[in-house]
Amino acid sequence: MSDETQNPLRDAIDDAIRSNPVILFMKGTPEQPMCGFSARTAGALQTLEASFAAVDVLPDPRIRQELSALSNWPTIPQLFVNGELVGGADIVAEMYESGELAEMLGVDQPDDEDVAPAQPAAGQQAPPLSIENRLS
Amino acid sequence: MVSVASLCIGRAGAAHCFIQCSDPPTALPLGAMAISTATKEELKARIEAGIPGARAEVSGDDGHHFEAVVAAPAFAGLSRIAQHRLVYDVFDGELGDRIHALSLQTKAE
Repeated sequence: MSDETQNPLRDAIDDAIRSNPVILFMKGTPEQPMCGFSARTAGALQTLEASFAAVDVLPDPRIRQELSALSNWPTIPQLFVNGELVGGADIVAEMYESGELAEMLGVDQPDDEDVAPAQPAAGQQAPPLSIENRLS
Repeated sequence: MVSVASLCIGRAGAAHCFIQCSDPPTALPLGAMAISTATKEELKARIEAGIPGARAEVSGDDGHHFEAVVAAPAFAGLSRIAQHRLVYDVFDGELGDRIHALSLQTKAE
């Protein structure tokens, strides 16, 4: 897995997954998601006030191709925790509702289970990562 | 190698989720699959044919966005990731392309 390949983009994605304990690959940003599935997934993390890195896959279609080749997962978003793929929007939503996501992230589940995962937690967001910039 | 100029194509359409469909087209299976829209009946039949013993309830009428609840003995003992992968494998290369979105809920039985 960690062997250097002739594919710098895939290596950059692999490095981002390894070096960020919680990292979400999504369409758009947590502040401005560009797809409902990405919005829901980022929203769950924000509601839990979890600290996470986010990568926007939209600026370069190759990010998505390489990510899916690396993860063997066809769709966006994709959430990784401690280097492992946790799932996409459906699995993250199920795990949020069951409390498994909070447990995995080591954060408290909100008391009000009906709270809509929408409001970003101020000061909790890491700046968005840009795979594109990492390559330049 | 892709030229730098072409890397920014995605931005123009980024305001809409449908940018997902601008991925390079993947080869479609021959025959009946070479149509542009999918149906919930087709998805149900392919899931149940592709995963032994599976029962699938599929909804979605717009030809692109579907929701499926799939129960199968083959899911027993598998993580959610592995369960979903079994379903995704049925539609290799079509998810995010011909089938824009497939929301999944899987159950072992």
